[in-house]
Formats: sequence, structure tokens, C-alpha cells
Amino acid sequence: MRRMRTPSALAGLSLVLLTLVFAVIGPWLWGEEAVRFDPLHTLEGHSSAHLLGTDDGGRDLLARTLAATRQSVWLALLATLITTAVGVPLGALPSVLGPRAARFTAGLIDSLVAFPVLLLAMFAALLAGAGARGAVVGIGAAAVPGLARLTRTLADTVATSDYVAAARVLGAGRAAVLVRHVLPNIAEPLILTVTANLGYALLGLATLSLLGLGVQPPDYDWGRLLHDTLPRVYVDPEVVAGPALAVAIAGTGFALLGESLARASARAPSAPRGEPRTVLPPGCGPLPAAPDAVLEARDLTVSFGGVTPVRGVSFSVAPGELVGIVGESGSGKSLTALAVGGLLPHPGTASGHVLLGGRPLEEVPRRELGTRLAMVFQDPMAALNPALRVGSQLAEVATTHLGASRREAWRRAADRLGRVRLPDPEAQARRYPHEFSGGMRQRAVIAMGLMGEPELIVADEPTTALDVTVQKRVLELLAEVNETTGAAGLLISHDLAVVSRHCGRVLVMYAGRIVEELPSSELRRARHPYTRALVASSPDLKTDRSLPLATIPGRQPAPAEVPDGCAFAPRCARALERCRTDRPEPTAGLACWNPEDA
Amino acid sequence: MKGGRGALLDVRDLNVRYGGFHAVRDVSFAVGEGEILGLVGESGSGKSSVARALTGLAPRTGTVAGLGPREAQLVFQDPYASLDPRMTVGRSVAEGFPREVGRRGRRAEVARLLELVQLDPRTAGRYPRELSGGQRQRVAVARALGARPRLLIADEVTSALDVSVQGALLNLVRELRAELGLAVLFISHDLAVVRYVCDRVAVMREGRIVEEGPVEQVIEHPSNDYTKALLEAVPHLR
Repeated sequence: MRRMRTPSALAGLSLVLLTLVFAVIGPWLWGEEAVRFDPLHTLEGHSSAHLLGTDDGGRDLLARTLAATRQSVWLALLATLITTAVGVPLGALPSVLGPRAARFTAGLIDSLVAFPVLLLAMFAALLAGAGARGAVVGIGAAAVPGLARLTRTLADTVATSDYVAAARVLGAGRAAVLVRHVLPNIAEPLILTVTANLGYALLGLATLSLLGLGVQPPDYDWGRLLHDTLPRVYVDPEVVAGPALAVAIAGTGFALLGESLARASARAPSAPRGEPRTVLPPGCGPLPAAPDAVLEARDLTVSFGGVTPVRGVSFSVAPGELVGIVGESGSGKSLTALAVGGLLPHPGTASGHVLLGGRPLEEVPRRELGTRLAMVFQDPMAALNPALRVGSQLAEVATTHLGASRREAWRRAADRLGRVRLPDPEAQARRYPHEFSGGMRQRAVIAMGLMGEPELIVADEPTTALDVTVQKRVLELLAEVNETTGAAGLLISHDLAVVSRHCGRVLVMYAGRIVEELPSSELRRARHPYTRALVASSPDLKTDRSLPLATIPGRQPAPAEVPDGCAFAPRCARALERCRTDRPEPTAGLACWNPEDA
Repeated sequence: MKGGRGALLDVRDLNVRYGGFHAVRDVSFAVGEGEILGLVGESGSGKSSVARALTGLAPRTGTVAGLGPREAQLVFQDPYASLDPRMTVGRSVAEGFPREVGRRGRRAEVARLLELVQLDPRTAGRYPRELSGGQRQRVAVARALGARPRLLIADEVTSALDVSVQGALLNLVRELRAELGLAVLFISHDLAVVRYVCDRVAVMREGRIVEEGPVEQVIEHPSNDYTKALLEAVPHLR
């Protein structure tokens, strides 16, 4: 519950607690004084005997305000109870009914939502009769459609999940699914909404009583007190202060608490605390020159708060070379790619050096980076605006970054679409991304990267979402583009075979570090036990079917749990005592104390 | 079907339509007792629709003979989405238990199934969020086995897993067949994986089966052009 330690959450919680305490003790302590008539001191303002003055019966307004807490909160609770008791079952009903009845109920909820809330409240209040009862029913009914719709939307999300599909295949009926899966999974957001609703009900009831429609004398709540004192606001403003403040405090408290609970449960990513941050200032340390490298990373480290998913990674890429980075999920390979492109998501920070064409990355202006660097991601739709024609999006690169005229830019766009082998590029340029297949979209993204004169092309799992037949062609295109433009290429993939087929050199990452760097033709003779194990556990079309597949026991440590020694040691059959305590530094492309024979 | 084995599942002229979209077209195949049949194809080929149709999750026409209700169980692709986050592993695994297991036998049966999928029986008290992807997928397999199926449908069960974990799950599928004589319909886009796990394979394209046969024959000597193109595209280590 650390996420509940925000100022608004604490404020909400204290206001609610304060309100509840007074709801309990108020009538006991001030109940008698609140109804004691004093004909000699009617309609008085502030005095030492009556801090907030008296009403037309000479009754103390401070005592009345405090004693009214219970009544006000109680009515709000009742109204919210009505909302919940009707709204939640109504919203859950479509999950239990057959398809036709479900559609009818869903339609009913939608039309109720469209119905004006005030009319609904008044209608319900009229039916229930005047006074407090009518007000409670009205306010309660008014919030029903909203809660019902929320319930239905939440229930729908759960009802279409794989685990509900699994339950249905296992033979669970609709009612069982509702009780076992749907309700437990929607309870949390519903409770938060109901808490916030309490605040709104409190305000609504106070408003009705203020208008004289709610609580009737001799009963009184905050709204009724406001109703009685409001005419005197210009004479003795302090007489209004008590009930007005009370309504504000309680209403704000419940609303704040509800919303803070909702925000806390929305699982904001929070960085574990306590670990010291290791951030090197950029530009420190000696820089060995690698004059011909287009891309040079030295001691690249990526931190998120106290967690360090990439730890001191160094490599370089020559012009026209395509280098692969392989690793399993969580190895830091994608963050390395993002850091190289200067695209780390907030609050990530990179330290160490990244040199692009010999210049530190942070010195390259953003505008220039747009043409010198091309990024290709797994999901091409993330890079394409669905509302714009493909040609316009490509042309935009040329008009904003290269200062080309619109006609020039469009011609260039069509030319680049042709270079990535899209048939009839002129026609393709006029189409929208959704008219493209997955493979065509990824080609368009590569073409977009080619609009400038890229020196570096970074492709992060560019074909993971594509079919094998398309994958092969897209990767061949990428390798070809790389070679013909003389750009440096980085291909990030979880698939060893993909990398070995298209890259000359491979960097193998494990737990944030490069553990081995080798020519891809040498992968079968890799010397690091992890690389060996990865190769052995990926089946190909020649794997011996009579033997079980090789597996790696255990799991890769999370960035916060990386041990002092070699991170792979706990899973490694060749681990020595030294491996658990001393971290092997990479020497000649290998970070291992006890490597396999070449 | 290979000699001697009786057909466990016989599917004839299966069709699946979603509104105007015809996902599966006149598909016929059979799965023998204790046989692993692979179903390969690219995205949109209709292979997952076959799985959903056989388990009643998608509307179908055609005849499906041989299996009673709940005798075909499904394991899904994404182990992060297929387990209820608010249920302990034990409750999830027990979800499909037949009535005769009863309350008392439940704990022992959960432990037996968890051991069968090579998980510590103490995992029963834990929640899915405490487990790795590979462990979750084992739980999903144990849950499917709890309904005592005769056919296990594995729909891209290793696609969401890392290579080092994938191997262990593929070994598990093969062991289950060896130990329980379980028949498996193994759906995947990965030909190398299908070749390793399956006895026979059917290749789907645009809702139809374009080639079917023993796995060695289809992989070594494909007769269909599309199968050839698929095999051609499989990346392999240099």
C-alpha cells in the first residue's frame, strides 16, 4: 500500500476518518445541546457562548452541525447502498443471461445512461414520497445507470478473457463463471467507485435538503441546516460556516479517498527503493578510438530508479555491418536498442557513451537524429499514424528534417517505397496503413527510415509479429538496405536462428550484460555455457527427435536480483566457486571463468 | 492414422464462420489414440479457430465424432492471460475436476497433477503472479488434465515463452503422451517445433488443409508448394 502514501490519499483518508469519528460521537456529545430551545437567544451571530451563533429556536449551530454528522453520513450510506444493490446486479446480469436476454439488458443499461440523471432522481423521489426517504431513493437511483454500465464494462472484459474461456471448456456454467471469475476480478474497481459515490451522494443529499426537498424538521442534516441559515448569510455569515464546511470536508474526503484508491490499484510501476543509484556522468572515462565505427557504445548503463537492467555494455558497429543482439526476455537487449537511439522511456536514464559517427549522441541535435537514425520496432502500427496516408507520413520526414518541398518529398516517398520492393509504389503511397498487410507495413516503416540518409538502423524484433514467409523477406530487405546504404545495423531478436542467418556478428546478452560476442557462423561452437545452452534448446529441422530437448534449469534473475558473481552461475553446470563471487569481465568477446572448449 | 490405432477424434467437413468471415472451410481430419497431430499454418490460416470450434468456443458446422463434452481440453497461448489472477494455483487446477473427486480427494489430486507437470505440489497455494511464464503454462496444462481429457489441444503453447523454457514444455507434452497415452492436437506456426513433437502434421492455409501426412514425409518430402515455401522460410542456425 505504499502507493497510498500520496498527499491526496492521506488527505482523503484523514477527512473520511474525521467524518466517521464525528458520525459516531456527534449525537452523544452534542445531541442534547443541539435540540435545546433557548427563546432568549434566537437568531444570534457569533458569541463566546455560541461560536457559530444560534438558529430561530436559539439552538447552538455548532452543536447542531456536529450532531448532524451521523444523519448526513447515514443517509448518504443508504443512498449508496441502493445504488450498489441495484446497479451491480443489473450490470452483472448480461454475464449470466443467454445471448438475447443479455443484449436486451445491455441495451436497457445504455438507455438508462442516456436518460437525464436529474429527471431520474426526481422521478424516483416522487414515487418514494417527499422528505428524507424520497431524497435517499432519488439520489440512490440517479447513480444506478453509471454504476451498472461500469459493472457491465468490467464484467465484459473479464468474460472475454482466456481464463473464462478455459473455465467454459472445463464445463463451468454462466453462474459459476460469474461467481468464481467475474465478481472477484471486478470487485476492486467497484469498491473504489462506490467509495467515491458516497461523497457524491453526500453532496447530492445536502443539495436536496438545502432546497427544502430532503430532510424535514424536526429532523436535520447538514443540508437542512444550510436551508435554515442561508437567508441570514449576509447578516451573520458565520452561521452558514458550520454546515457548509462539514459538507465540503466529508464530500471531498470520500471523493479523494475513492479516486486515490482507484489510482493506487491501477498498478503504477514503482521502482524498488533502497538500492544506491549508480549513474555515471556522461563523458567520463577514457575513450579508446574506433575510427571506422559508425556506432560505438562504451560502458552503456541503463537505470530505472534504483534498478539497472543494462549494466556496462560495450560494442561497436562498422559501416554496412549488421550486428545481432540476442537474449531472452528481460536480458536488457531492447533497452540497449532504445538507449542507442536516445529513446529511453521516462524515467530511464542512460550513462556511459554512445557515439554516432564519432560524435556523442547527446550532442547530436534531435532534428538531425531524425534523418541519421532509423528505428524499426516489432509493431509497425506503433510507427504509422492510422489516419494519414502512408505517402504523407514518409514525405513528412523529408519536409520537416530535410526542408524539401511537398512535391519533392512525395516523389522521394514513392521512390523509397519502391526501394523496399512494394509493388506499384505510387499507388501504395496513396493508401492508408490499415490497407497494408503486416509485412507491407514493416516495409513502409523501413522506407520511412530511408527517407533521410540513415547512418544507423536499429531494428528491435522487427519480424516477431510476422509470418515466417514474410519474416524472411523483410529481414533480407533489411540486410540489403544496410549493405547498400553503408549504414550500421543492429538487429535485436530472441531468435538465434534469425540472427545467425542475417547477421555477421552476434552479441549474446544475459541479465543486462554481454556475455559473449562471436561471429554467427561460430554459434554452434560458442564457448559461453549460456550461448551453448541457448543453441541446444532451440529445435530446428534437424533436431534428433528420439532425445529430449536440452533445457536450462532455473530462470534469469530480475534486474533487481542480479548477483555479484556471474549472473548465469546458478543455472550453469560448469560453474566454479569463483563464478559465484567474482564477475568475469569480457575478454576477447567472452565473459566466463570456465568456458566450454572451442 | 497409423496402423492399429483407432480414431479418437474424427472431424468431417468442419466449417467455422464469424459473421461474414469464413475462417475454416471444409476441414476433415482424424486423431488416433495416443497420437500427436500437428496443425501448422500462418496467422489467419484458421488453425486456432479449429481449436476453438472443437471446444465449443466458436460456432461450427460439420460432424465431430468420438469425443464427449469436456473430453477435449484446451491450453492457450498466453499463460499470463489464461489463469485467473485472483485464484490460487490449486483452485485453478481443481476447476475442471469431475464430481467424483469430491472435497476430500481434491488436495491429493491437485498435488498429483502438479507433480505430473513437474511442479512442486506446494505451488498449489501460490498465485499466478508469483510464477514464471513457463511455470504458469505448466499450471494451465495441469488444469486441462484435471478434467481427465482424452484429447489435449495445445494452441501455440510455447509462442509466449523464452527458448530455454520452451524446450522443457515440449518435453512435457511428449512425456504426457508416453505416460498417459494422451492424444494431442498441437497447433503451432513453428515447423521446427511441430516436427520435434508430432507424429503427423496437417498444413493449413486460408481455412483449408493443403497437405497432411506423417511428419517425416511432410517435412522431408513436401508435395504442396505452400508447404515447401513454409519449410524454405524456416530460419536455421548456420
